[in-house]
Amino acid sequence: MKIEASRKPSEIMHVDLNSAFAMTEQQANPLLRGKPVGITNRLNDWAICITASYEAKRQGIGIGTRWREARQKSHNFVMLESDPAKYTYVHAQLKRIFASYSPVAFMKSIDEGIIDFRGLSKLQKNRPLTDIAQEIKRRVKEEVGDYMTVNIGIAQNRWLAKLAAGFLKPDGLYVIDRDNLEVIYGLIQLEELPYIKSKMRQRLNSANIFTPLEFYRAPESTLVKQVFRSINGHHWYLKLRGYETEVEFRVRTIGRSYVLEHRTADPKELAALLYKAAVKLSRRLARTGVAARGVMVGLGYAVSQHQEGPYGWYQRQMYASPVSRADQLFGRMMDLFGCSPPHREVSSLSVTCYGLERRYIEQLSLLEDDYSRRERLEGAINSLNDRYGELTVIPAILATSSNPMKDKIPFGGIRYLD
Amino acid sequence: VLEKINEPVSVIATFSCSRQGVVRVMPYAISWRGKRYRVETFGLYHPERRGTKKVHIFSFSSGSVAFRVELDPDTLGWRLVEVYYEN
Repeated sequence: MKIEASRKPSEIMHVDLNSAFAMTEQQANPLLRGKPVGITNRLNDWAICITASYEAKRQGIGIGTRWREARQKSHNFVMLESDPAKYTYVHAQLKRIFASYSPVAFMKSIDEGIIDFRGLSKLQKNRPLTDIAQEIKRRVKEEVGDYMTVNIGIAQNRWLAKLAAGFLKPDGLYVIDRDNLEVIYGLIQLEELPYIKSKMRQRLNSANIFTPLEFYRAPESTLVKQVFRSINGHHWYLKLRGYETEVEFRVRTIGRSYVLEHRTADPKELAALLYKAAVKLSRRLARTGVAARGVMVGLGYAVSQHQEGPYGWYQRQMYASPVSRADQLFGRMMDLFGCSPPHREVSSLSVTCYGLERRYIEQLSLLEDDYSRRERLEGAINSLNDRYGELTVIPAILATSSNPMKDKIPFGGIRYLD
Repeated sequence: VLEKINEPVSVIATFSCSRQGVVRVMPYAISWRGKRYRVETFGLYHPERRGTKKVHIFSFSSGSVAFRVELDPDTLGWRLVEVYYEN
């Protein structure tokens, strides 16, 4: 059955901070404004740009560009180490501004959010959303920083609103509705559509879909049976026509990725770092009120140009009972870590807890007779660390560790920022 | 060039309060190593939580030097954390 494009008005707004981290640094340091700036996690010889300012992008520097390469491209390029506290503050300010317009306003990531205006036209006194968008742009400048600009897209669903926000960068404002939908699809390439990357493009190409317009006009059966081979095909068919298909999911995994300051192959040192990760994860699990049955450990290897892969290793395991204490998580992580290839120099590590379950009183194990004592100890350590800062009280294994770990993504998941 | 400093400094700042009771702190000038720098362009204020303490961080520039200073809520002392200057 063919479904027409949605007739609903465009009432979903997507707001996206331009080159978020780089712009925040340019806001903080006025001397960096108008200059090519890049942000990295740790400033060292291998530093890779995780975000770049518009000035840097214009000179061919973007995500993944190495510091050395960037300096060759631009003599006045400035690379800075990420400063999560700044980005978290900007995130909170954006969230506050968005929430003042609609009860259904939320952040999708550290630098982008959705404001749902459906059913609020009377409350907004029939003000056009483009007016409100201009007001948001003004407020961001006044309340966050005068150098900050945002792209705003308005459309019938979140996906189209994100697409609209991508036009006219930086500081753009664009509206997609039923009338210009096909025109827009006719103007862009497949990979300019949100969430369409090279693999997805190849799948679409294999079904003779080469442009967004062909994607839009493709029969639902083609998308369901040939391209996606799942219900996702139906969702894409609706999404392209302006119907809402995105729903909020509960937290399903809690994890962290870290880059190591000093690369190491020493299993003792790596074990200490895993314990540090376990402590942090255990605090997150406690804060979220869940315990995890599944644990995954991943290692990223330092591979030089002359070496062959593999570039990384990971192992995961689903256990029968859920755990949440650091020592329990560490035990499981070490089981998995023991399976990793020896003598490989590690440059990054990631740990993820999955199979999350609400944390009730855990099933007592016959083998753990000191269960409640350990629970109380962990609770006391957490209270002290809440009061005096993360990792103030640490297990002895960490006392000798001199290899600082920094979050691979400088902000972590936004669900932890509330 | 970014230089880590981390030393106490004297800062002249205004503490103004709006009708809604919102306090706004704005550095005006900083004295550092015998020289006084007047804030010419204010950059960003952001707080940073360190345990239960919330440190207030201000970034601004004066001529060709940019400063990052912290206000400690316990001691009400200012500390210069970073200086950025152009070559």
